[in-house]
Amino acid sequence: MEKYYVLILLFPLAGFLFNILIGRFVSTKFVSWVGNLSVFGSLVFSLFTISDVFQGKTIEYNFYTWILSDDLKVSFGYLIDQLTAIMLFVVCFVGWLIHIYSVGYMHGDPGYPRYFAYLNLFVFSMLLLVMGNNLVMLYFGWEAVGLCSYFLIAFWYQKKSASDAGKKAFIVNRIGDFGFAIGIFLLFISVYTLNYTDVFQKIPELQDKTLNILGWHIDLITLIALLLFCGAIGKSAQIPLYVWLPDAMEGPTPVSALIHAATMVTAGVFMVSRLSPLYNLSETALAVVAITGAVTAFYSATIGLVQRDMKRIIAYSTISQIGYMFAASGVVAYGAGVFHLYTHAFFKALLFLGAGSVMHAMAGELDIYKMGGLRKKMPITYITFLIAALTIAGIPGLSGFFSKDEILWYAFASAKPYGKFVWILLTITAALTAFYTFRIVFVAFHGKFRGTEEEFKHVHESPPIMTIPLIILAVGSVFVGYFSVPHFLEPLLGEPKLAVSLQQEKIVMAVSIIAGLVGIATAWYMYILRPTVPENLTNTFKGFYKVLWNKYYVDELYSFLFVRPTLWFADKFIEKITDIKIIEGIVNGIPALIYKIGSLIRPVQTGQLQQYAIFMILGIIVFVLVILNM
Amino acid sequence: MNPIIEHAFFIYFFVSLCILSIAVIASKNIIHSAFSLLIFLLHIAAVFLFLNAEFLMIIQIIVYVGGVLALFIFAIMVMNLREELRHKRFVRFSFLGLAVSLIFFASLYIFLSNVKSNQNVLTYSDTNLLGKLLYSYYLLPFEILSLVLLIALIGGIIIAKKTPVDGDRR
Amino acid sequence: MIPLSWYLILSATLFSIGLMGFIIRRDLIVMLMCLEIMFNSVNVALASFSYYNSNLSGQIFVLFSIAIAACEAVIGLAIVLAIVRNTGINHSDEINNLRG
Repeated sequence: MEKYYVLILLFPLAGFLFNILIGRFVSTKFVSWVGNLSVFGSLVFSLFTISDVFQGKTIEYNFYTWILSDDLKVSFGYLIDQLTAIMLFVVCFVGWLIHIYSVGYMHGDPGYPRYFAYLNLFVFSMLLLVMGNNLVMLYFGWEAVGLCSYFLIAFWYQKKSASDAGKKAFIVNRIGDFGFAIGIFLLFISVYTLNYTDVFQKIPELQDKTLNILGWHIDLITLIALLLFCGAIGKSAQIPLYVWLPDAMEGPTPVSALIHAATMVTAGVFMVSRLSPLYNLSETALAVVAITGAVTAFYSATIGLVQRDMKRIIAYSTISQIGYMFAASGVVAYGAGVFHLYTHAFFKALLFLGAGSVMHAMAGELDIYKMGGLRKKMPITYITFLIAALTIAGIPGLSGFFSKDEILWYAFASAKPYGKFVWILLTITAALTAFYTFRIVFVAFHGKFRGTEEEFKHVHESPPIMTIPLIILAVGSVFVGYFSVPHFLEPLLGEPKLAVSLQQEKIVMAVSIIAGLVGIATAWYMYILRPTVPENLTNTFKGFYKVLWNKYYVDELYSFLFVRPTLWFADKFIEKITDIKIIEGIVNGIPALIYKIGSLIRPVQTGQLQQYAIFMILGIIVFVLVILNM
Repeated sequence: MNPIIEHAFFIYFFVSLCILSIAVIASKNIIHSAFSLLIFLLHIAAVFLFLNAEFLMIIQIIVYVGGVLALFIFAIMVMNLREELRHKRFVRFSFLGLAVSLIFFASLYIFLSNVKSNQNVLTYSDTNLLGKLLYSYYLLPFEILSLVLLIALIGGIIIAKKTPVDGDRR
Repeated sequence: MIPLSWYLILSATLFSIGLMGFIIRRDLIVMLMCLEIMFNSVNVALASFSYYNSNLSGQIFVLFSIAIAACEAVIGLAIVLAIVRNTGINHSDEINNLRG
């Protein structure tokens, strides 16, 4: 059975190849069957891996040696342990449900086969990332998911905003990946191996080594960990490389659900957890991870408070929740971070798919202030959306409560000095999260419809092919929390040390529940009871509102600092000097030179017979003098 | 034979051949050149006789003088060149030609003046023997030569043919 | 006894004169005549080698040389005729159609 796990990778790859090459020539039904069956096949096999891992087995298998060059041995192989099993389950199950949903959502789109091809390619890349047993496979999958993200965000590439968003995603990701690559290089030249098991054996030797850069001594392990974290910042959209994620909402909604909620953006969290032995050896890196995560969580929650586009609010919510996961990793509670990843996949995908359902009904409209009272016309969407909102707010009994509470408890109880700081930020963020999520619920689903009668007549519930995944995800959002993931992952990731007594756990739990309820209540007050309050607040705090509305002007700042100088440089130097003068100079100059030399030599041929005879005789004279006189 | 007479005759032939060849190349009139060529060829025949090659001498006279030279005269007649006396004889930069041929001669002279000759000379040449040699050892070149002559004949006719112009009767 | 080198010098002289004439004269027909002079000088050299090495092969070679020279004269004159008929030019330095 062990060797067959490679099929988990091959099914989506086959689906991709089929759909991209032959998809155009077969019916859309065939395309959707191929796309869905391939992911279902992966799901079946990943369930087998879960059963294997439950028995305590860890499977490592190399099926192809790719690079073999002196010390560098890189092979395609998989390492299946508890962490991989969880990730496989998340990716395959949620991915499968989203595939089914896409059949309904993308119905009638001219790029239908291309969509399913890219979606399968994405699943393949993500599985490669999580199943790999060395850093190169991780990087390979990392880059590949970035590429698929680009393809899928810019899916409707005829729209300029979509193709720009795709480019932005890829470029910002690439900036992070640059640091990631340098981290890998540094790791390789320190331990001469890239296989996880070998690396983890060897890194304790590196513990006190430092790297001398221009006279400064930097701890080697910290440097490596921070560089690798750069990639995670880019891929998982933390500060400062988060700017691509809101714009990525230009892609189709199922794409946002799969890639930017459940799987790709969580790759960074997976990476940190997978490399936990490395991060455990560096206090500084852990602090950076935790603080970045916590600050990002708070920051993006504040932006999400005032946005009007439903998908953007949910996007900022994603950034915020991933901040939670990184904060958990930073306080050495990797298990809690992965637990939150697991539950977040369900409820965030549900939120996105619900938004997609609403878009479907509202003919593409996303501004929540153009909606209202949708719950009467779209009951299933409303109920599932409400369940997701309750989960994310941390209402006890639902899965979000369990995972979020774990994180808050371990942050509070952590022995690290920044633990309490992280805890405070995350608790406030919990309140904000509950607030903005219920803002969507109350504004879009409750109250009166803010559009025309015509539009309201058009609002209808989505077809079953879209609502059944919603229901399944809602059930998942409720119940998956009861499976204690941190306990499951303990053999691998260890248990965090507590610095406070267990009694305080109840207090922390109470605080987080109160924070969630405060958020919901405020939203209720502002949007149901006293609808005029938001407007008054906006007018009173005009400047503050403006800053939040414009996302702290970060996009403008980046444009000024980075984008414009690069474009200026490209135009003035690269185009004018290198392209025109140097390259075209050579390309045009060599033929001109040849022509000139030719025209210098051409006059030798005069066409006159006697001159040719003279040349012949000169040759013979040379012959006679040289050879015969030897 | 008395060496002095031999040398005297040889020197006569040497000088006359040189003068004749210069006359060929330096005459204004083409016919003068042609006739100088005729005398030149006859002198060459005499040189062949010196070298005990009487068959060659006869062949030279018959073929060269009687054939090639007659052909030249015919060609000159056909080309109808009456205006020629007014035109320049020599090419521009003729000194270059002079210089080149002088250098050529000098280089050959350096080499040839040191050639040693043995005393074992051909005392007589037998035409009979020549014929036998031609038809046994040199049969292949002989046959090929006949083919070459045929081709030259046909080729010459074709190249020099008048191309039919529109309006001419075939 | 006339030394071999004398005959060879004779041949070389005639060849050089013929060569000079070939390069210098403008008339096509005179150029052909100079070619004949060169041919004849070579025949003299061949015959003298045959004489001094007691080998009849030299004379055979001369026979072939004479025959080939005749063919060449035929073709050469035919070409000259064709040129003069087509272009009216019979000076070598005005014929430069093969100019590069």
